[in-house]
Amino acid sequence: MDAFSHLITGLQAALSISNLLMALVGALLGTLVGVLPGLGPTSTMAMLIPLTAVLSPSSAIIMMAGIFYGAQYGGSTTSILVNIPGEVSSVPTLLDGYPLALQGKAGPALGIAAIGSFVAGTGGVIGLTFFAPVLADQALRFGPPEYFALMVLALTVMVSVSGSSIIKGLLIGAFGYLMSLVGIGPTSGLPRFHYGAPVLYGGFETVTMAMGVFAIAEVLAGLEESRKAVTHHKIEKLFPNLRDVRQTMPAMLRGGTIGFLLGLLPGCNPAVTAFISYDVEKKVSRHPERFGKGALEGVAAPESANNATSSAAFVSLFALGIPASPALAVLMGGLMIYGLQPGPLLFRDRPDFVWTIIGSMYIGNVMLLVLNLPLVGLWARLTRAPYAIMAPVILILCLIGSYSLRNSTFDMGMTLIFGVIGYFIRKYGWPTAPLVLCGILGPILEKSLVNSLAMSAGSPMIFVTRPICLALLVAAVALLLISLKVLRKNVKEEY
Amino acid sequence: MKTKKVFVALVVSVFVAGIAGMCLVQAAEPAYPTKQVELIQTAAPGGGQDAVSRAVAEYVTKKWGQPVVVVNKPGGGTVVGAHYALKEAKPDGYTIFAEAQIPSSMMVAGMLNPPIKLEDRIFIARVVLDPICFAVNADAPWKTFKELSDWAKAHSKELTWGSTGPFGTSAFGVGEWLVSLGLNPLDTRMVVSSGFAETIPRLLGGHIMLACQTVAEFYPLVKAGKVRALAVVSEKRNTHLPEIPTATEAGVPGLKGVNWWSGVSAAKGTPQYVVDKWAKVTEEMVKDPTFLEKMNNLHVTVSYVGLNAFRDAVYKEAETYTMLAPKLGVRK
Repeated sequence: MDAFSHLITGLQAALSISNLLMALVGALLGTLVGVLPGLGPTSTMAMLIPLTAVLSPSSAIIMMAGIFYGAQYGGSTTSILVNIPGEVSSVPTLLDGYPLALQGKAGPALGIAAIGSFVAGTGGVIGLTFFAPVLADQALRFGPPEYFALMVLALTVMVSVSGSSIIKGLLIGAFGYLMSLVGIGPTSGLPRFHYGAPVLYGGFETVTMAMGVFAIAEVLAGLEESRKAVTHHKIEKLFPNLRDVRQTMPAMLRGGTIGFLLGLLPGCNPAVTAFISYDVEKKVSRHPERFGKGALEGVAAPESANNATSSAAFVSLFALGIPASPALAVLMGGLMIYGLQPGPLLFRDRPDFVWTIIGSMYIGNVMLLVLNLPLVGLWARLTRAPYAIMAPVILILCLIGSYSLRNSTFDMGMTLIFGVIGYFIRKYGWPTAPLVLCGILGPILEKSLVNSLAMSAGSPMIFVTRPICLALLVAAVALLLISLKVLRKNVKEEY
Repeated sequence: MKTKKVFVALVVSVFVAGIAGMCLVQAAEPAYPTKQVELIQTAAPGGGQDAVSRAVAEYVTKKWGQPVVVVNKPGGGTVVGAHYALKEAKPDGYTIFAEAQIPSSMMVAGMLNPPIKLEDRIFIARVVLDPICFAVNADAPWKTFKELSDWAKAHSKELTWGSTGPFGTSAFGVGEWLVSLGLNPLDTRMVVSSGFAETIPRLLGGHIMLACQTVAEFYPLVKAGKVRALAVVSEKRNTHLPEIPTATEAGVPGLKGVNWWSGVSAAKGTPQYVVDKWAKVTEEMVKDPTFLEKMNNLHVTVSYVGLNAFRDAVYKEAETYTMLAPKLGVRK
């Protein structure tokens, strides 16, 4: 019960007035940057680093951590309301969230997203509290071959997000993969497909791809459909009721568990986690055909997964000093300015500090729930705004968001180009999600494959001689078979 | 109404007089900076390069009373940001480049046709450096750098090592070591990652045998006993890890070493008074106690080299790496 007594001390410290205030500021800022697409916690935290000159270490880090996990709460807002994925990990959320908003159910969708975020975020902090050192060591067993197998497993999600035609899904996926090849090769270090233009060395940001094919394409489609596209049905209800919560609770718990476990792996992209949890939900559902048309579980699972991932990411930061995401790298930089060294030493030398931060994360999650639930009603009313107002707002949000990723006007242009591509994909009834999925998976697959073969001096036996890797590959085959079965059943029911 | 006009006239005349006065004083060189200066950083927020440039920006802002802001333009293995700062932006002193080894010496060594060349910039100052350190898993059989070297000589085809890119800091570091042992680096197994955050879990999990990262990156793991640091490649022992021997002390002499470093440069064509002003301010900066404490907390070593000396150091470094590059299978 050592962790328990530490936690009590930590909670007491986190409950001091100044620390509570910092947690609130963090939660507010986090929600804000989470809502604004593209503008992630990373740049916000980096801008606040100079504040470390005036704040005490625990106050500053409580605030920065609050921004980090708070951003996960707001992240779903634009995906559900206006089909803008602020981050790639929000893409699975919009697959069902946006159809729900179109049906006038934005309120329940946002509410479920907030509750799921709270359940999984808190669950993740509990995991961090009691198992951090053990889990961090287990996660180290994942080397390049295991990551390769995990990405193969994630690739089976393709079937779930391809709609009724797997062939179309594969073709779109191949296009997404080709796009991801542009830029510096992940293992060669050399540029590919740059045609002499230095800006292409940087490749395409998957987020610009996602914002283009979902949000911009939706605006373009709205022009065509004589301004009907973003005109929603009557708002049925502003908040989810108890039945909605009870119905989606298993999805939240499953999404949260998957998110937490995969979040422990520093090399696993959060978007991969969100896609996998979405896919699992569709597989266990008795009505998989509802997915993609407005299933609340389809919102609950990936949103919960995202939040659990952000809690789990603290495990490798605190236990090993390894930042699993750019935002955590900034947080780590913040710690170092105070002369605090994240990693095993921090737990040993400054347990008071670590436990205060962990304590504040419990409090911060409660604050975020209280903060976000009332906002739900406000956001849901926004869906009544006419197309003529919403369309320019969506465009501007996407452009600002894509610019802020790398301070690059090139990314703004690419968002628009991907918007036009997405418009045509959509017009001819092709699925768009595989584009984004393969865009993220491609580079990780390539890197882990090349690295695995480098480890084994070219022998593919490395994938079957390592138990975790083999188990994941077997699971991938099993999931693929289940997916195909579900797909066949759906197609049969449709025709 | 009348009082207002008088007031406006008064304000205007004060301004005119003020500006005229300033012109008289500084007739030789225009005032700089008169507006915000952007410091272009090729790394994403977080990490050592970004932290150093933010500390530089903070100090210079305070000194000059004009905001110096860090603008992160990551991507393309530093090509995107470097090209923007050195070839796209106006060379008027309001876009300054956060210089480092990757966009300069390593890029011109690793690529046959690098999109940015050393001649494209005016080197102003190197501020800090951080030497590389060779480390193995805490449970590994090799207790010293000599033992690892002897093992590698006999088993070079089995050696797996973590690299942060085929012509990155760790690749040149390991490459120099292997060549000095008379081995062919291409015989060994290089496992490439996107940075230390990916390489270190691989070392801790036993997926690779050797990692070669900077002192600052290894620092917490060495202190906690999670990895065994075998040697720091520098002339003298590092002040942050004084318990770790240098490569020569560890029985492997003759390595020049590879350094991670951070500094500032400006695009070719930037006015001389801008260059001079930055050279002066950075030279003062490395004596500022607050700045020094920050660098100490980041576990990097303050090592100031200005203007021509800095340029010569980078050219020399580039020459060494260029000789090494073909043996690593790069520069194609």
